[in-house]
Amino acid sequence: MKQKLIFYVLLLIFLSTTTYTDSVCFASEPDELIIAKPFGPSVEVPDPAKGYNGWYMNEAGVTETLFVLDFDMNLKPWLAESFKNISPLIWEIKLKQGVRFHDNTLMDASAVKWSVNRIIDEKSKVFNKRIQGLLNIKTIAVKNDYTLTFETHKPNAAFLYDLTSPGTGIISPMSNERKIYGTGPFILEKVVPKVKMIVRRFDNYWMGKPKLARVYLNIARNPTTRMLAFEGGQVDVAVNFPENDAKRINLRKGAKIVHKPTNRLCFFFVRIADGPLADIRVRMAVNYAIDRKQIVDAVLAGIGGEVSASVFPKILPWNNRNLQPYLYNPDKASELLTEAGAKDNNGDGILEINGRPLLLNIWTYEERASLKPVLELVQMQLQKIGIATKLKVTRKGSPINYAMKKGEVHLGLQMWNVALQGDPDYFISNIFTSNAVANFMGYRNQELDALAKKGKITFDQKKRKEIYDRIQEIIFNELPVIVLFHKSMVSALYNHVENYEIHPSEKYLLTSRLCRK
Amino acid sequence: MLNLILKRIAAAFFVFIGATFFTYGMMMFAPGDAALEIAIARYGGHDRVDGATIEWIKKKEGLDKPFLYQYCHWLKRVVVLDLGISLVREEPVWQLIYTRFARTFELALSAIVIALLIAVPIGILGGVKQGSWMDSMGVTIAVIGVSMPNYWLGLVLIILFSVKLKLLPVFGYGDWRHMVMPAITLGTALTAYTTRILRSAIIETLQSDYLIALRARGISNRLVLGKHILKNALIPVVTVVGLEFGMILEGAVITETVFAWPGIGDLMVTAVSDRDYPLIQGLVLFTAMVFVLINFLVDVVYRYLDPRIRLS
Repeated sequence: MKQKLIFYVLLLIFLSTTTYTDSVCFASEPDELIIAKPFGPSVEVPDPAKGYNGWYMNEAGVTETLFVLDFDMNLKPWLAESFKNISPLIWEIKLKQGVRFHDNTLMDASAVKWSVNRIIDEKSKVFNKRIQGLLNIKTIAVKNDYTLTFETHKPNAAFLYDLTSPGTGIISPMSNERKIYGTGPFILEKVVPKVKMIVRRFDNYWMGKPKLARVYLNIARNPTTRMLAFEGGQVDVAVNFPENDAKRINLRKGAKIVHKPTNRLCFFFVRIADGPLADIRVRMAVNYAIDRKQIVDAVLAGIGGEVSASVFPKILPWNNRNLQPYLYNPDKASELLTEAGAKDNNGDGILEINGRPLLLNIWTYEERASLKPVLELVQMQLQKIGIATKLKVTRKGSPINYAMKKGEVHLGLQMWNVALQGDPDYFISNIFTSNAVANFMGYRNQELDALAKKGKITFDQKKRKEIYDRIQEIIFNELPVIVLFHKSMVSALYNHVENYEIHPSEKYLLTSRLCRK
Repeated sequence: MLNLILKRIAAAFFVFIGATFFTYGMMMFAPGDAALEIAIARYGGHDRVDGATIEWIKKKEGLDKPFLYQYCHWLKRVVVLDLGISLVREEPVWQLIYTRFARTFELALSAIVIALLIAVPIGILGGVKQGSWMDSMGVTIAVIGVSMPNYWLGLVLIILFSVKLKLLPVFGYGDWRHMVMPAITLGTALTAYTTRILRSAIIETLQSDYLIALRARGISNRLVLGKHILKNALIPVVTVVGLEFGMILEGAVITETVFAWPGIGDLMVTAVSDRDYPLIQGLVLFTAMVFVLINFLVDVVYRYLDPRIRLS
């Protein structure tokens, strides 16, 4: 009996090791793809106007917006043909002709008006406060079948960028609580909440028939689960692939890794209103003591992030090209600290300023797995120049913000999308201006305030670029935030997947060009 | 029986009030800005939220009102069976809970069935043949089962059955194949626990005097085992399975994450971090209801298994 048992155990081990080959078994058909991604709708009919649904529908190629950001993050008319800025408050938008909704009706100006109105009307069932605030529309008027005018309450130079927000995805007036008809390359076939989205080809798509007949977007929040599904050959593409497993996949026959920097910035909020970091020399010392490259190499396997100088990534046209990243320079950091009066008086390896040990409270949140190891590395790097740290990992959102506002946190590690709509204003106005809701740092700079105000109402894009260049320079010099890197999106795919491209805004995923060999 | 039902209903009322009141209180007085947390969760991140939106949410959802007012307002709606709308997902709370709980229940039930199918024979054999190799194997399985963390076991199963053998899907929800690995993962600890309890109970029962009397009356060993020993030994097992159901729901959070099972686990965790009050309250109410119901069922089964309980 015992021998039999040992035999079966050995057989199981043998089978498990020998059946592993490079061959993969795909569940999808020749003109289909299965993609594993971390997030998806929690309802069967995800109306793009509600919450985060717009992002899911946009990614799935079901809905489209009037304007889009291309892969170089330039603004481009999409369902719109052209635009005219009649006055600081009025925008005339001409629509593309021949665009059909999934119910085969034609998209025209009144359909677009209906689609946008339902989002910004407080009485509507799908009213979206965020988008209402973003667009700040006073009236929408239909000029003719394919032309509309939008009047805003206040001048808003970012208006067209705001129209790239996935929540503004245009849907047919025939849409209802059971069915959403968009204009994208794929028709929403089925949603199993939190499980999968299935989309099928829309033959009458205005850009031509999509190459794929059907795509399954399977949802798995855990990155390890997505990685294993990919390794098991059960998905063709795994989005947000764990960086540390990417190298192994790249060595595997028939599979590859693609990665691209996104708008997601990993940075420290710096409490500058009080505490040890109120002194620019100490801030600067911390800045020089951080080895960004080591962080990206160690935590993100060298591919998960791109070291940056500005808050805006290099892929964004708004990035100030003149700024160069602070290079790791512990000697300079020590010099600056000495200049600031820091000295190790008791020989315990920790510097003191005004008789008090130089101790920084550094917090981050647990929802992003890569933040904690970043924090630990920074702790080690700061220790090298004699700065003691106390780390805390908490929930995202208010715990860190409130503690920082009270001066209990000196550095708060975050990861934010800095240009959701592709425009620089939102991030700058919401963080760096004196009255900004997310200005937890206690940062005040009158020049920056004035520039941010001006940036909002400057319609000449060249002049706007100059304004935001200067703002980036101020932030770079004064360090209300310490920029570490811009997160890259990493995806794993098998070689038969063609035309898969990562979009820096993370807004788009399925396109009509996407196909399999 | 009617008495038991009435007692349970009365107890349930206090459980519901107590649980929901304290949960509401704890959430309300937790540090941080609820409106901000809700806005972040609703719109997908801090980078998507401005001051005006936060203020609007505060006002619209009544978060600026005193705690007692908010709680009573919620309670008033519950009385007419309205659990409200989720502040983040903007969907009816009842619908969210019902869909997700059904899936977790399905998983938990499968885990219990698997656990009992394995634990009962091993436990009986271990108890009856104490000290034999089968007993040793049972004890070893029990120790391993209890010691293995769900997360680790889930990944090992995936690597073996999905990545290497390509027999089962890594994750998802649909047919029975999706169920196998999560149910085994979730049921392993219960299997181990039940095996140990059943084995001990059988060993204890075997030492009872009434067995000598039964055997003296010439009743066959099989009948003694099936009708008398097992029936007595099952009482602690019922208690354990009843109590462990709660543990299974808790363990489901991790299992559901590993296998991307769309159950209630993820909903519970996100509801709390999102400060989605109506959803949290709905979940607490619902979970309390489930626990009361399970305890009631355990009581009913007790009465069937042990006539002494009925008499007392």
